[in-house]
Amino acid sequence: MLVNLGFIQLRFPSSIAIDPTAVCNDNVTNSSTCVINSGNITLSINGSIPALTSFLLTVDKVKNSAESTQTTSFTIYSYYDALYSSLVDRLETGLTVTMTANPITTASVTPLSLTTYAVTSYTLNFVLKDDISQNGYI
Amino acid sequence: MVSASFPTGTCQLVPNSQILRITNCFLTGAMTIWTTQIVLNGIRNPPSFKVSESFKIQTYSSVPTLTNFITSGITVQMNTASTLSTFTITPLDSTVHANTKHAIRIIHVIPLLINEYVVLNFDSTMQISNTVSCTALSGLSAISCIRNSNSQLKIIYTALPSSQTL
Repeated sequence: MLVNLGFIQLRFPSSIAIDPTAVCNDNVTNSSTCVINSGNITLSINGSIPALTSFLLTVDKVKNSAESTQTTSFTIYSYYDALYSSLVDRLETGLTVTMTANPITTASVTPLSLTTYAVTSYTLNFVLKDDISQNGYI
Repeated sequence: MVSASFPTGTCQLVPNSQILRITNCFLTGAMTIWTTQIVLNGIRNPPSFKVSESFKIQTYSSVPTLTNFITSGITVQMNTASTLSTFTITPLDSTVHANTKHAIRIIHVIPLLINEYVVLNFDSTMQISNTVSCTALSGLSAISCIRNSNSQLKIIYTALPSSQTL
């Protein structure tokens, strides 16, 4: 049970960025107030929420991780009232996502010579979908 | 020796048979120019007109994890055959209208594989016998011949050449 002024706090993995202008909403109560601050989402409770309540939280303007590996875990904490000392539930592991690499859709190759077995120059043109990070490679 | 030019300055190529890794391009910062052109010098073309397998392009972060990729649809196809560097044919008997043997010497530019073949077109005033036969002299352990017409002969390399001088 969470009571009036209780709150739920979610933290995204550091590799996932939330735009400062992003908006979050939940399906439980319209009177809740959702605030996003530097990757932390705080859902303030106005009223009370019983145990076993299923939450659906949506956040827009989230930029996926640049790495196609499993992220660290999202974390979720719930607090009975307005004080951080009133921790009720927590989840700190196992809530991860894994991105997939972005396919390139525009690419071409042009040999300077089309004579069999000739040693020649090849020009490759392609359009990346994402930045290549510092110390990355092709 | 393979070399490359790239829009973001000097890069290091790490050739590994069919794989080129372009590295050291992004030591001072991320590459944010997404439209990219790379010129690779010193690439040997495929030996035939057959459409090549696709080039594959993959970009990696510093972790490294795969970021962008394409593995199909980037092919090349040759349209000009390279010429033989040496071709000579010497008749054993140069008497007109004689039935004789011809010694053929070929230096191939492109390495040949088993069952690849040469098609020889003779002058139209010459005639290939219905019972034509071929013998490997040097550079080959086995060949076979098929008479395609009065003036055309197909020589099949039924064993791997020991050298490209035949």
